[in-house]
Amino acid sequence: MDTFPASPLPPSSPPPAPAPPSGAAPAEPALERDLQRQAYLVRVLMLVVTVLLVTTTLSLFHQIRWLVAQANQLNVTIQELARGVGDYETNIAPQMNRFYTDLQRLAQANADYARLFARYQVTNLAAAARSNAPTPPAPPR
Amino acid sequence: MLLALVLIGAAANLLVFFRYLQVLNTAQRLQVQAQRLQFAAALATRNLNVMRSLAAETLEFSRKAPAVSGLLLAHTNLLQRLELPATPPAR
Repeated sequence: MDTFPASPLPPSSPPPAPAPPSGAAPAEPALERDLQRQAYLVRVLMLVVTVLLVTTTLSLFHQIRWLVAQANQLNVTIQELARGVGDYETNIAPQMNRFYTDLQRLAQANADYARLFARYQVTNLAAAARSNAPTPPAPPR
Repeated sequence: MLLALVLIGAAANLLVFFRYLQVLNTAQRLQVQAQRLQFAAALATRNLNVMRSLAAETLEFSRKAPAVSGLLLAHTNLLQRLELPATPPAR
């Protein structure tokens, strides 16, 4: 004997679906065809997206390789330039400054030489070169 | 299956794109630095050329004023670097 209490029906339980009209039966294959077509379209779309993604990834890979090669080449150039500028800054510029100061003194003492000296303007580049030559960033690997 | 493929492809693409951005950033920094160094090197070359001309004229002047020769001899090292003799060539 059952002793379970009878559960009340939910207040908003939908009424049972009405029986399909007699004219809906031929619509089922059409619906299935539509579904199949849509599933096919989704598959094609996904394949297209996959192909697109693979193409983009490969082209980006190619671009990265080219960029790394360029960066390495640029790094070699930077090292050569930094060596040259560093040599100028540490060895030549101080000597040039001393020489220029001596020539300035000579120009102050000698009027003939002062006329010759006035035609030349040398910029003191030691500080400028130093500020322009920071340590190069490591090239990408 | 296809969805998984698309998701994996998208993730790989994103990773490669970030790597591309990183490499691009480094390359741009290197380019800026190369430009700065080129500017510094151009100025240094210009200064060397001006100094070479000035030293050559001073050497020429030292023919008329032999007292200048002593000054030039004190800078033999620099004159050698400028590919100039420390004493005026005899005529």
